[in-house]
Amino acid sequence: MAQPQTADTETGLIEQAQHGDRNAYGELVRRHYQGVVLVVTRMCGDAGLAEDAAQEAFMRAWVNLPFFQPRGSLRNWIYRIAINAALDVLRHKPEETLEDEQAGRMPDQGAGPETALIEKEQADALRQAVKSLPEAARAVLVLREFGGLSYREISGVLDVPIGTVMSRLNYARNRLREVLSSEMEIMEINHA
Amino acid sequence: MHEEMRALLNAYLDGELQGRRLREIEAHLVSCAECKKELGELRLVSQKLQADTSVEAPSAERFISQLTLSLPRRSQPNPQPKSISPAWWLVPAGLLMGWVFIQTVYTLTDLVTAANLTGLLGSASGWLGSGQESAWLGAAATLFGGQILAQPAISLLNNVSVSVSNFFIGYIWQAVIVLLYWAWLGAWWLRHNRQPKIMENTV
Ligand SMILES: [Zn+2]
Repeated sequence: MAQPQTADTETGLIEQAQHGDRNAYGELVRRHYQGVVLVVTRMCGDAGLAEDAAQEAFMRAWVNLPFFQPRGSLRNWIYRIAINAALDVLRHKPEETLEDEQAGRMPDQGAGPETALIEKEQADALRQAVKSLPEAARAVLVLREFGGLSYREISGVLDVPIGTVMSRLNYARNRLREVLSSEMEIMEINHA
Repeated sequence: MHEEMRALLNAYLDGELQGRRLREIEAHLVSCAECKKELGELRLVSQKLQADTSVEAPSAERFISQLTLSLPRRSQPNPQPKSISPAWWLVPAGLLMGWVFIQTVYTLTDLVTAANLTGLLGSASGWLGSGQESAWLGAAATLFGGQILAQPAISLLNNVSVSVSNFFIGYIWQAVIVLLYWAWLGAWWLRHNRQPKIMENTV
């Protein structure tokens, strides 16, 4: 990745989009789409809700772009909007999605080799555990693991002190560590 | 020491520790098997999470084409509120012109009165009473409290009382203009300050 050049053109695109250029905004969306989708998907724990959240996030980002300060990081600014959009979507989610979630948990038919199945089960268990974390801890974990943000950046995005970022991350990772350990134990028992 | 270091395992894993803290935890990890084991498990959690990047989402192209169609029009394309209508700026300009007009009427009224009193105008005072040109000045002077003394014979006392009433009515008009100007400034200040902040809070 050619970082310096990317930064330059991104500034230009931001300026154009701030003045209402939809094509320039489309290019900005393209650059941040994967990251935002991953963050909102792990935040919502559901593909349908995540799509709504991503749509809502990029819509809000467009509306508020004229107020974005170019000195800041656009990625972090969009992540902040995305986290809030995901939380809003979760708060307004209809009851039916609970059934979809259960359906999503059903083990796959026609699975491949055994190790792949184990990997998949572990990944599913972890996703499920992420989803069951309290929102505040989940937001920190998601920004760290899927957004790749530093503690300082997370602190800025979520408006909390770095100490809070650390304690929430400790809480989240420890919960997941327990889930993963018990998954591994179950597998060991099954294979014994 | 163990609990203190244990709380820093994630920060160590994420490369967030420096200097003394970093040296302390590295030294502790050499001697504490429990922390070492926990660090390994935390690292595994992080690796497994990051390895799982699969998401069921529409392709970027499809998403963008849908999004750009539904993007709302932006009423405020610029952070600086440059779109304030010209009529807005006519308000202080109008007030300023009103001020100048009143001041002019006053100065003229005073000059004419002074001229009348000293008899400078003399027989030319008829020009004031009957001339078509003076009609607007007379009307304006009455409206704004200026009373032209056409009769030099009026006593000095009467003269003074008229001047005092002119003075007060004139000041009331000036005060009204100043108040209107302040109100405009206040409204401008509120507009100027509030707009960007409201938007930022909605993010
Ligand atoms: Zn220890």
